This record gives sequence, C-alpha cells and structure tokens, in this order.
Amino acid sequence: MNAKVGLVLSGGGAKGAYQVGVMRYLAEVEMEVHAVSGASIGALNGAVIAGSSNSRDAYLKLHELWMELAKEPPLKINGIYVGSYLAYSILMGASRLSPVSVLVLKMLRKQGSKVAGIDDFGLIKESPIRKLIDKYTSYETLSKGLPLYVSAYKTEGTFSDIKGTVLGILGLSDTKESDFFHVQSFSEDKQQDVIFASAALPLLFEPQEIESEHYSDGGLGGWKKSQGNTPITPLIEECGCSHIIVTHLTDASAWNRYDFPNTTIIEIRPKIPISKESQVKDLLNFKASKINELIEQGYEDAKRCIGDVKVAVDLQAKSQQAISRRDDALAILDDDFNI
Amino acid sequence: MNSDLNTLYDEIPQLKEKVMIDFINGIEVNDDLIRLRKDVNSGVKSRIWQDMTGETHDRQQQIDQNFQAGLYATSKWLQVIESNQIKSDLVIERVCFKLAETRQGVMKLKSAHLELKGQVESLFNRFDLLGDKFSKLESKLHECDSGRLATQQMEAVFDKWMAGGFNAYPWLVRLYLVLDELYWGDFGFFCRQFTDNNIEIERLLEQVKNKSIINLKEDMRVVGMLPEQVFSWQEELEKGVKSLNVDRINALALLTDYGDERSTPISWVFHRYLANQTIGNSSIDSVPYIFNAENIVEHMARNFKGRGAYER
Repeated sequence: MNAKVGLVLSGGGAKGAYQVGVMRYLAEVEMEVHAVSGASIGALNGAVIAGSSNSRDAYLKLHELWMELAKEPPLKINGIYVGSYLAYSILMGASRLSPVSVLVLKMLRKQGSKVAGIDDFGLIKESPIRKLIDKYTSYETLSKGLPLYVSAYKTEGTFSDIKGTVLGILGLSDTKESDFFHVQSFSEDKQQDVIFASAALPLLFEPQEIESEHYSDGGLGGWKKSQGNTPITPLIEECGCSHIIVTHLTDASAWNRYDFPNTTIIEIRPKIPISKESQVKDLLNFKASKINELIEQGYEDAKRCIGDVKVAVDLQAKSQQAISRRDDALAILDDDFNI
Repeated sequence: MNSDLNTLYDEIPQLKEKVMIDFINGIEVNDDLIRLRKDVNSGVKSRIWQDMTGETHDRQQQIDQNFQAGLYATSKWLQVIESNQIKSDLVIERVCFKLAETRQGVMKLKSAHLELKGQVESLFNRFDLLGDKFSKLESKLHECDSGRLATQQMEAVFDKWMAGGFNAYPWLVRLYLVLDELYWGDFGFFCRQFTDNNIEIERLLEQVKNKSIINLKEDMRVVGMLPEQVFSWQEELEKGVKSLNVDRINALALLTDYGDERSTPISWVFHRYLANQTIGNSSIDSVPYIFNAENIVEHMARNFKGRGAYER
C-alpha cells in the first residue's frame, strides 16, 4: 500500500500523555508517519515527533519528556494570582461597555503600544514546558524532520477569546476558525513561537505574535466541529496525505470524519472515559500516576482502533491476492491443452 | 451491479479500503459516542445541558452517519463477497471441465502408450530375431572360416606327406601320423566343433580319404608293392617299426595311448604293438588281418571319427 500517512494530535492539556501511548503502539508495529499536525499540547508533542528519526525514537523522546513533566509539573497555579487575574479580566471585559474605558483603551493604543491589546495577558510567562521542548527539539532536527503543522487561534484579546469559547460551549455561536501554520516555513527564532502559540491557553499563557498578529491556543477555533483542535485540514490540503490517524483527547469528540470524504481516516477514540476529573483539572493535572494511566490508555486504544483496521486491511489484501492468484491460475488453465 | 462495482474500484482503488476502514473504525467512534450519551442520559441536568447546547443532536447525527456508512459498507462488502463467490463457483466449474478434459487426455495418452508399448515389444521381438539371425550368421561365418582353415591344414599336411615330411616313418605309420596331425589341427577342430554340419565334414573326410589313398599307393609303389596289393597290417607294422629307434617307438606309443578296442580299434592295436612290441595272442575282431590301400584308409578314417566321438 503506497499510503502517505499523517498523524493528527488534538489538544487537551495534560491529557496529551495519551498520545505517548499512541506513539508507543506505532513504534511497536513499526508504523511510520509522513507528516504531523497538532493543536495545543498536540503541537508540542507533534514537534518532538516531527524532529525524531522514526516512530520508536519519537516514542522514547516523548516518554522521557512526559516523565520529566511528571517530576516537575509545568503549571503551578497560585490561587491568589488566579483570583486577581479573573477579577482583572472581568473588569477589563466590563470596561468595554463603558465609553470612558473605550476611550482610554484607544488612547493607549494610539500612544504606540505594539501589543495587540493591553488585555493580552498570561498568568505564566515562562513554563518549564518551554525548557523541555527546547531540550527535545531544535531548529536542525525540525528542519530535517517530518512536515509539522500547528493550529493557532487569532486572538481578539483574552476576554474576547474566553467569551467566544463560552458561547461556543453553550452552542449559541461558533468560534471563528483557527489558522494553520507550517512550522518549517518559519525562521529559526520564530519556529518555537509558532508552536507555543498553538499551546497558549488563554489565561495561562500570553498570546504569541506571528506575522504581526497575536495567536493563542489553536484548540479554540471552530469550536463546534473541533476544527482547530483536530487540525487535519493541512495534512489533506497541503501535504496530500491519503491516510490519517486522528487522536482525540476528549470523550465523544464532535469532530466528524464524514466532513473529509476523500481521505481514509482512522480515529483513535477512548474506550473508557479519558476525562477523569473536572475539565479544568484534567487539563492541568500532570501527576505521574495520571500520566502513566493515560499513556497506557492511549496505547490500548491505539492497539484496538488501529489493530482492528489492520486486521481487516490485511484480510482484504490477502483476499485480493487470493483472487488474483485464482484468476491467474484460471488463465493458465484456459490455455490450449492438447495431448 | 458487479461490473459497476468493479469499475468503481478500478477508478478509485482506495475507496474499497476507505469504505472498509470507515466501517471498522466507525464502530469505535459509535462506541465512544454511545458511551457518552449513556452517561449524559443518566442525569437530568446533563440531559438538559446537552440538549440546550445541541451536542446530543450533533452526536446523534454522527452515530446515524456511522450507521449509514456501516450499512453501505456491509452492503458493498456483501456484493463483493457474493461476486467473488459466483466467480469462484464458475472457476470451480471451469476447473472441473478442464479436469474432465485432462482425464480424457490421460485416457488417450494411456491408449497411445499401450499402442506404442506393443510396437516397442514387436520391435524387441524383431531385434531378438535379428540377433538370432546375426548369431547364426556369425556362427556360419565362423564355420566357414574354420572350414577354410581345415581345408588349408589338410592341403598343408598332405603337401608335407607328398614332400616326404613323414619319410622317417614306415609307410603305414605315415598314414596314422597324417591323420593324427589333422586331428590336432584346424581340421580336427572343425570336425569336432561343427558336428551338425555332417555333410561338410563327410565331404572333407572323403577328400582326406582320397588323398590318403593316392599318397599311400604312391608310398607302396616306392617300397616295391603294387597299388592294389593286399597286405597284413601286422607284418607291415612289424617290418616298419624295426627300422625306428626307441624314442620314436615310445613317441608313437604315447600318441596312440588313447586307443579303445571298440571306438578306435586301430589306435588300440597300434598302441598294444608299440608298447609291447607284439600283438600277442588276443583276438582282434574289430580290425581285419588283411587290408588293401582303400580298406586301411577306410578303417583309419573310422578310427579318426571314433576318436573324436570318444574324446567329446
């Protein structure tokens, strides 16, 4: 089978450990992928995979990285900071309704602030994740590696992004679609910004500037159909992948394979709930026990979902071979036979 | 329908695989969706919330799509299986037909083989006959050659007699020595070997007898006897032997020691005389007392033949 295989890694914060288990299965069956795309934590995992020499190397690196994350949780949230931040955000959001506030904002912007908005705010400026990604990826390895695409959401300010997402969750309106970026098309100093833009969860991280625009977590875009959080589009349209493996990090993801009728898609869906606690805790829980549990779950789900398909495809291939051999044998039998 | 399906597969080879993967993987997707819906349905708040956000309907839509795709895949799959089943049945029928054809061919081959086997056997029989003929021919050639050698030896021995090669012996003993030399040479071999060819042997013996009579009469003439004169063989032998030395007498005695009274009486009486220097008083019924040249040659020839039969 001359298939070009793509791998989609959706976002889901600490649940990204699940994707380590998926890679473990791919390494085990020696299945190689030809392109990777990711959103949020999927973009970070994707960067490691894209910069690895093969699926086994990718699994080993990812496993090591996640074990380090288990030792040093990347997001230590201070409750007072969170409270202050929320109050600030609400205040800023409320201020938009006030003509005075609007006037002040306009004045500030006019006075030369290069930032898209003073409400672009991140609770954590430097996460240990960044150091780890630095450790496991580099410009050189990425340049030589697999094509890597990430999704990022063009921000209109943190409050606006949150508001849009809440409306999306309520089903009242959809968020605008995320943009997709080919990481290797960027210069050395910008590549990591692009990757981190995809993972810049509002409230927690500052949006990243890409081509004079500010972007935050790619998973926010196209909320209803999970367009940004499951970035399959660039693998189909830009990379021309014939077969794509999609890993979901949510239970019963609303993403619909039938929106991509010309591509063969294998979805890796959880057999048991992937969300163990509340949505926020699941995003931020980097405990070792949770990580190991998710790796195991990812491995089992990949084994089941890909394994079943593999059995059927192998069976089909054998059936085709048998048909071909039968027809060839018949053709020989139909030759003139004279004694 | 099948040809349409095959055309479709030829045009889009991945379709078959995609349909199958959608079918197989769709089961996993449905599992995931149904599991969540079960959880949602168990709580009033979650039911209201999901209905409000529209997620329930979206997921139901996905389940329906998967179900529909699964039915489509099953339908196509069944068609492909049915199509291949039909093709396999037709192939089996074709194989059976070809097998019957092969069986007929084998029967024909067996018949042709049997015919060929008969021809080969006939050929072998002919070869055997030819071999027999060849052997006979070879035997005949050998016989002819032996006959030629026998004649040559006969001529040579009689030439030797005529040339005086036996003059050291009395004339009666010469006749015996000539026949003895013929017996041990090609002539004797021919007579012993080709006993079936009596005519040729008799012809040669007749020739020997005639030549012997001629030479004997000449020798008789030389010693002053008449060709037709009768003589006592005992007297002539006694006279002749007196002129021989002991070695020659002993040699002659050795040459005649095979003598048998019934089959080779001449040799027998010659041996008795040569060994004892006397015939004695015993009666000799098988050898006449009086001979002429023809008679003595005839008796010598019988002695020759009897010796051959005795030694065989």
